[in-house]
Amino acid sequence: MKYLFTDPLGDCSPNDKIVYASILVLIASADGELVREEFCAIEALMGRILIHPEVRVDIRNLLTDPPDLDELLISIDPKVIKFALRDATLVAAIDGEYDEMELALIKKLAAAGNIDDNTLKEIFDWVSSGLNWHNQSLALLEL
Amino acid sequence: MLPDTVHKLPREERFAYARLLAFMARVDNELSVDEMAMFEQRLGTALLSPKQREMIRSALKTPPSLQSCLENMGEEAGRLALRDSVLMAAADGTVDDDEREVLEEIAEYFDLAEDAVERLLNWTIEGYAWMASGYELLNDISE
Repeated sequence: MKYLFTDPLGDCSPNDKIVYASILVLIASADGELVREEFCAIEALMGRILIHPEVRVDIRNLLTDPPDLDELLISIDPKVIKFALRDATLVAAIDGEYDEMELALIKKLAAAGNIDDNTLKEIFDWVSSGLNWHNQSLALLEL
Repeated sequence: MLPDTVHKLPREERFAYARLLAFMARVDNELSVDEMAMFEQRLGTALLSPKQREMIRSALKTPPSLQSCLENMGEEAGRLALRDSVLMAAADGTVDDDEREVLEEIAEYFDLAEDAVERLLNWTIEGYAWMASGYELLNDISE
């Protein structure tokens, strides 16, 4: 297995990484309320693809002035959209529920990536199983 | 990248947690991209200040002693640190003898069950499978 907890996304261009992370910021701020868990998830995902620490500062600043999804989609490599969709769905689920605004953005992302409803459902299911897997660790540690 | 309780720990314990991960990253005297990605991912989750992150990154170059990392952590921090040390150790695809020995030491220090490391390794393997199913899903979209 080539990739364990890293991701092919780590090999994409610096610009695509920025746009990817900006999409995550947009999703996290979609419901007008940024919870600490969402912030942690974005920080972790930025760390995972080794975005430069100084660039992360610029991305964090977007939280107060979220970008426009249409503009982001113009400048992103179409191949990266599917990764953004997968991880945006993950970030949206972090606080326990999908907000209507979050769902609207996820569907827009899916449309931009030509991803059909069945596949989108599989992504939601994948997120759900990941949350279950992670929660098992807390049970295992008796926390 | 998944919802966690690391960010709820006191800042000093989060710092100690991150130092332990820096120690783990260097146990086998190699730092692969996979390990670096996992390290940065977990560092992001800990929500440390930029200055603390810099200190932690320099700890990668000159790793602290295991004892100094452990003594600044409480029970919850210690358990989460053991779990994420297992993730760190397995990030490059193998857990070597030196890494296994350190993991057992951490478990013993925090008075965890004898099979704690084994169970966390099994949980980690399940996590790999979950991540892999995410890649497969995205690859199917590309076909």
